[in-house]
Amino acid sequence: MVGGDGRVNAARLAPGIAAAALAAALAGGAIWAVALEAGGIDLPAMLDGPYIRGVTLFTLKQAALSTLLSLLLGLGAARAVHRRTGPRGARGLHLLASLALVMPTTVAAVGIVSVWGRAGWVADATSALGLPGPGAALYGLPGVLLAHVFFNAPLMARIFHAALAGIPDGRWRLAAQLGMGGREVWRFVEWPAIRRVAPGACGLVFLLCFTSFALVLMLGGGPKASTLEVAIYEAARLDFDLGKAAALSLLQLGLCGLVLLVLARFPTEWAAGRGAASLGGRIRPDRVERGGRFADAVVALVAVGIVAAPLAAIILDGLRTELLTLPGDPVFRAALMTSAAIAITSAAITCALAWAICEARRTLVLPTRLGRYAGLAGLVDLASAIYLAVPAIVFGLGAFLALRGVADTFALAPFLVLSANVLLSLPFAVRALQGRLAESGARHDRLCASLGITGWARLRLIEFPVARRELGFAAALSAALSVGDLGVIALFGSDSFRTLPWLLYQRAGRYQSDEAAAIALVLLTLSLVFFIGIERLVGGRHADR
Amino acid sequence: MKMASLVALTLGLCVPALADQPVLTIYTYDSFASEWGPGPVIEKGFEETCGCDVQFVGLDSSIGAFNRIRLEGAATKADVLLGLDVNLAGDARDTGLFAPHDVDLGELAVPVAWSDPLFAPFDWGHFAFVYDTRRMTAPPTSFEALLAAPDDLKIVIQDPRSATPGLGLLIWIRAVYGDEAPQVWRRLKPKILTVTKGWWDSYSLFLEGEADMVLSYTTSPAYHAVVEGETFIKAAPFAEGHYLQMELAAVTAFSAHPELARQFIDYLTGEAAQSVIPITNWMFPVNRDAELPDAFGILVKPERTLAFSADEAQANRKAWIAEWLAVMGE
Repeated sequence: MVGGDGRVNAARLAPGIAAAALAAALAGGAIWAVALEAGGIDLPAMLDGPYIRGVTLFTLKQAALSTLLSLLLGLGAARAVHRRTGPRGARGLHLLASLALVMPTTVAAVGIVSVWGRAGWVADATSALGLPGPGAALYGLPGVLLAHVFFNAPLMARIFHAALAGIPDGRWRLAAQLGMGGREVWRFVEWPAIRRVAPGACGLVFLLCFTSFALVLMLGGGPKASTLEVAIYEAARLDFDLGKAAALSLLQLGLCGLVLLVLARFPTEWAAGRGAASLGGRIRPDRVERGGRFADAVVALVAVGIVAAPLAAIILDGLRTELLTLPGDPVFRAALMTSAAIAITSAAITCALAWAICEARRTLVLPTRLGRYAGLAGLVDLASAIYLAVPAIVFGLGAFLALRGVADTFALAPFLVLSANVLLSLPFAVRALQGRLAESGARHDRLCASLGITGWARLRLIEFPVARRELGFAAALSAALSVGDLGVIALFGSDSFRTLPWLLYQRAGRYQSDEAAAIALVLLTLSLVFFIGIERLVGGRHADR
Repeated sequence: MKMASLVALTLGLCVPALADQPVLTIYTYDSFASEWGPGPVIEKGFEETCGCDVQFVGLDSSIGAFNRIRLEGAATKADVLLGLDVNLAGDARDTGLFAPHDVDLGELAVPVAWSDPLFAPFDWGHFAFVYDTRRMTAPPTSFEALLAAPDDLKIVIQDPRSATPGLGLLIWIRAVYGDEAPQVWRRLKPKILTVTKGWWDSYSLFLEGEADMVLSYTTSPAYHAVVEGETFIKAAPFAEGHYLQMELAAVTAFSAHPELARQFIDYLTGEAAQSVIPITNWMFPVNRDAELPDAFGILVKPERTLAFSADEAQANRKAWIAEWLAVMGE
């Protein structure tokens, strides 16, 4: 039991530490296995040279800019939705975030170019009006940033909105009584809530953008815009230079780890809000201010252009195809079932691991610890997220090398894909859960200690009711991520084991782009169904508010 | 491993076990093995006579399949590797993981003389820039014309580091211009809308109307004609000639059934299997007697076929990619 004596309770700590260590070991172990196969690596020699330097600098630059822009739009959108809409707007953000998480990159890129490209809607409109069009201006850094904002701003907005919705009504009333204007509301009411969730969200988005590959090439206009991930892929696949692949992976891991460690110095919590019980947005004193109205209008316009319009293009594209013939296709049905099974299993395992990690984390950062274990807590955060920095091809190679001779790697394909999906969703789930669990710990630890409620009973009676909604969000997020993932399956997939994204890439790879567009639409629908379904099932009836 | 079996159960995976027959395992790229590719038909045809069970394993790409064999080494399950192109044949030979196929290649209908003891071609095509006649009425008819065209003519190509056709274009331009290739790339650069990771990304941008031309194959129009009944997608014939892509088959050195593997390659290059290739893999067959759909008759026939030997491609690949990256990064 955790009392005020500052002792660390091993039973509450061990499962979470073990889970985090396992995640880090799998991430690092994959690279280690590849390096071992190469017979060691000469790190300085591999990483020297203008090519790697140039690629690394571009990767850092685009990831930092993408994160910043996603942060700005996400924050703007969260405030606008919070100020102007009730639960319905919140639900809209929710759905957008889940859609963006499963969107195959090519599909998203095509959506973006059909709005902003040379032959897109904007070009059509400008030429009809006799104005100069966008031309090929999209291709380059603007395209890369646009695409990354498309993917990540909805996620950021979802996180920030939850933080705003979690602000107690009393604070808004106080702000109104004190006659606070927009600037004061931001400084004294919103910022303290945003500050707690922003570093975690930025860390995730930075990792996602840092390791982006196909999207960066496709909209980047040429190899000037290529990320480290491209160089790793080249080394691992075309040149089969395992030493170089391992060295570059270590570089990527190191840079991402550094960024995560810096971000971990800020207190990070990411709690889904309690919008349903809150009047929040409706009693904001800055609702009627002219500046706020103007800002919200600008944000809405930008969000329509960058997120909503491309999404609409994708849906229209999918609807134009032979959607109705898909359900009759046995291959499609099998892939659908596989994707569903993987998503549900992955969500369950992810939530269990994330719960254990959050339990350990809150035990480490209890106020009575006086910050003594803050470093260890930071490491736990890092360990749970670092897999995002491991290229799928290197993870696949490493897993193969580690299992070679021990077991049939083809038969283990489902297991490997599942592991990869769990590792992929773990950081999202941890960040979704940790705020509420930490809060619950602070509130209930003493009560539980005095009543002797421990273990399963505590989980059932205390924690689950408190964190149910967040658990639902974590599960839904994990399921959506797993539905869309194409990382490891591409290396181990075979005709007896196919997921929907894999099927989509297979079809599209041989001219069947219509079917691919239809499958993409199914993928999006499936992710929505999962997102809403799982969240309601786990999180309870009002989970989506 | 309880977890793994549990997952396998939930997913309803089952591996059919045909006890008495030898299993011939073939590693290839996914679309060859998939149900709309040539795999299933060829599997059925060969099983009728071989007394064996053919199992295709479709991996992410032919390079991925080759790398898998490299990693598995002597323990590989693969008896045959399908789909490697000439540019990587040198690397494959040097691994010592492949054995002679013993198939007589003299009779095959391929555009260049080919007598490699380890690698047998099973289909071929030429790289080409593909355009849409509804959007482009006067396409360039040579590299020179393409280079001289105004910069608002936009092409999309693939990255040679990640896609086979992208590497093909790099070598194509080398074959036409030799050491002047960097200057040619410098002139081509303003016309390159973007460079994508894979072929599908490029082709999608082209179909979306973003680019006027896309790097693909002379056979691409055949797909649109046969499956969609549409003829406005065409390949532009280039006067300097087109670079050849041949897909190769090989027997692995550690195959448990080398004789069966050789018989398979013989069957693969025979009339029956070759008649399936054009309309499933959208490439030209290597057998003279193979049936060709009408749509293949209207395709561009390059006046000159350009091809480097596997050795030349192998020896220069890294240097050429580095040179290309240097120019493109300027």
